[in-house]
Amino acid sequence: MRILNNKKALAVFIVPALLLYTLILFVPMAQSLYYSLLDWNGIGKPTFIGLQNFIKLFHDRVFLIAARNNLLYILQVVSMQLICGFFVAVLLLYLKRGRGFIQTVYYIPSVITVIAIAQLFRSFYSIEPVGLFNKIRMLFGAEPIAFLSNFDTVLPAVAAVEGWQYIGIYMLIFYAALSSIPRDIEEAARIDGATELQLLLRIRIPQIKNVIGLSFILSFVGALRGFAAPMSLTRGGPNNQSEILATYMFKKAFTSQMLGYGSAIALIIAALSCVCVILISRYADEEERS
Amino acid sequence: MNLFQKRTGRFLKVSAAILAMLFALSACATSAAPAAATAAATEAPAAAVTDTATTDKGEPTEITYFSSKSATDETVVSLQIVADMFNEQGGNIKFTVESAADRPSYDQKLRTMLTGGQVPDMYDLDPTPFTQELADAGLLLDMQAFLEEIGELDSYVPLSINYCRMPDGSLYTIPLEFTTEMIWYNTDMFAACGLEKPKTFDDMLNACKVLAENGYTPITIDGMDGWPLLRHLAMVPYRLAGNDFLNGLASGETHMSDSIGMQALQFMANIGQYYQQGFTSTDYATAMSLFMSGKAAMYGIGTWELNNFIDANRPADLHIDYFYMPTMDGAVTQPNEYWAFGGIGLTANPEKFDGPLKDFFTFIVKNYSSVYLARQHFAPQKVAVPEGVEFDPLFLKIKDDIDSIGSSACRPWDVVLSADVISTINDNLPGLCMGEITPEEFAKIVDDALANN
Repeated sequence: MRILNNKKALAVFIVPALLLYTLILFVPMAQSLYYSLLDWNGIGKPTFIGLQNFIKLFHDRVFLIAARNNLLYILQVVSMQLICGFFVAVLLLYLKRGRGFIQTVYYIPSVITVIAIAQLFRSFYSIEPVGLFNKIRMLFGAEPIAFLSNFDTVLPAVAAVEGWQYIGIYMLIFYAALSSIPRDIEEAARIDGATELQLLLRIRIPQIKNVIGLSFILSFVGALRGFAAPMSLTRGGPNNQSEILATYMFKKAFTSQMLGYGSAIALIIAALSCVCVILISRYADEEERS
Repeated sequence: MNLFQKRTGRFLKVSAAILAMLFALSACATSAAPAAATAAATEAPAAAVTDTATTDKGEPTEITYFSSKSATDETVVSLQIVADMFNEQGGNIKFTVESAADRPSYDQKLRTMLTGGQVPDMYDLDPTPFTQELADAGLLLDMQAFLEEIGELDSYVPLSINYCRMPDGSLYTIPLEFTTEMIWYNTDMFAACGLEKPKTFDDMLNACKVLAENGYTPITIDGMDGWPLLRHLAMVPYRLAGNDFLNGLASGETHMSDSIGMQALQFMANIGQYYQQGFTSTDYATAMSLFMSGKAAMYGIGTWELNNFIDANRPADLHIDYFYMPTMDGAVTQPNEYWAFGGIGLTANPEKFDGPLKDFFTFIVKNYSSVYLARQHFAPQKVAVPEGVEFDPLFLKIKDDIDSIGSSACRPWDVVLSADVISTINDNLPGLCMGEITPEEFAKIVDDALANN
């Protein structure tokens, strides 16, 4: 480790990566910041308008709808991924045979492109021909509905795609954490008469608290990046009911050709992401200290 | 938890924050490089390419066509045939077609490419306000001058080539088709309900009502792509004011909340309730298959899909007829004036237009229409009917209609209004059709968008 005390050696290791990182990430970021101060369609002459794009944003009805939808989208995606992932991981603990098979089956959707998963869900939601979800509804005597057109169902329907897709990843993370809890702690609790539910709530969950926290952040950040499923299934419609910030940014920048305005939305998404993750991170740190 | 674990945890959290931020920022910035920056990269030494284009020596010159249509579309198939003919007659090109999944995807990808300076050799372009911006930036070819240079300007059908013209008359694309649009209907369903072919909007709404009461789905429509709904929205204003109302919207002289606009919106609110359930997420192919499989009574589409409707290709038990844009009391346009245009036009990269690309483009102008007509499609140019081709009766019937077509045609809204206004209309029109918002609310949203653009 003596080499790490040598500043020149450190520079040799760090500078190339830092330069590359700066080139491919920070330069576009700086460009975005610059574009957000312009009225520009990408073709003609840009006009510098200062903070006008940001002022306009907060009076933009659709932006506010998209922000609200984004919160609901994240809430659903994170809930689905963590709750279902945890539930399956706990079930795996009790499984004596076929554990590897179940893990593989649940993990497969995570490695398939989200567009393919979205198309799969499109057929599930389909009303003509009747898709899986409507067949289930009809089994219970309910009328088929257009999940992707109905104002009340469209946002949960598009969020379910990403929520479902990554359940397998969180299942694996939780299962690995649960498996690493020392057996003697669980055995001691059982000898003391703890039920399986008490074992779960009082021993297992507290033992993997840090993993749950980290998974929450990973899932949250993943949900913030949500874009492909709503764009592919509904393009944010109908009437912006499934519009989230990323789809709105894309539409403004590349459909409406308002690159400055789109960049301003991108910066707001970035700022909101940072604030949310820092808040969660601080909360997790304080929990650790207490 | 030791210090290393704490630092690792913090590192992971900070990394997560940075990743989220970078995603959002890079999405905009990476595609927004100035057009001029990479335009030079697409530039090729014209003289050298020309040498390889007309000899059979060396590698063929690759000409890429970025198309808004699928590879099986008749215009694309015909262009491919023309490319083969070009090579047979001494050319040496490799013609590559890149298709987008659907029209909105095409528009978005093309705009991103052009903004980034990645101009395809050949691509499709409508005469929209965006096209004017491209022209102002010097990124488009003066097609009028080119057609005059090769003496082919007068060979085009006026309604077809005029569709490609900008409001000031300038021309940057050539049409690849001459299409008319109509509403096809299932004659068996109409007969079962005792309905006649609709002539007015009231007839059409009444037919929808009766069909729905008899358990049929009155209309199938592709609600995902935006433009089919725009076609319905444009009908009442065209009948009441020609294209003046639309042009007024673009110039700020008229508003959606004007009487004509409100009548159009009321029509949409009325007819929207008769679209198939879930129309907002129905794509082009599904909407068409609903009609072709006898699950819906009416379907609006143009002659570019004519091959699907002719006797040889239609399901044997599907009996159909069509009607053109209905009319109404107080109409200022004639019943024989409806949707008729040249379709999305073809243009070429001016940076590469000396050499094989120009040779090939000239060959297209001189040969394409004959090939297209021989495949039973209405060509954009006046060409002799090829010998040995037996045209379908449906084709000949529509040809008779075209022979007596009026001198003006309804202009699509998405080529006149700005992309942002069209995006706003496309976003909100489904809600109006589903009764989720009122015509007044819709008019306000659109008028606000018009004011901001």
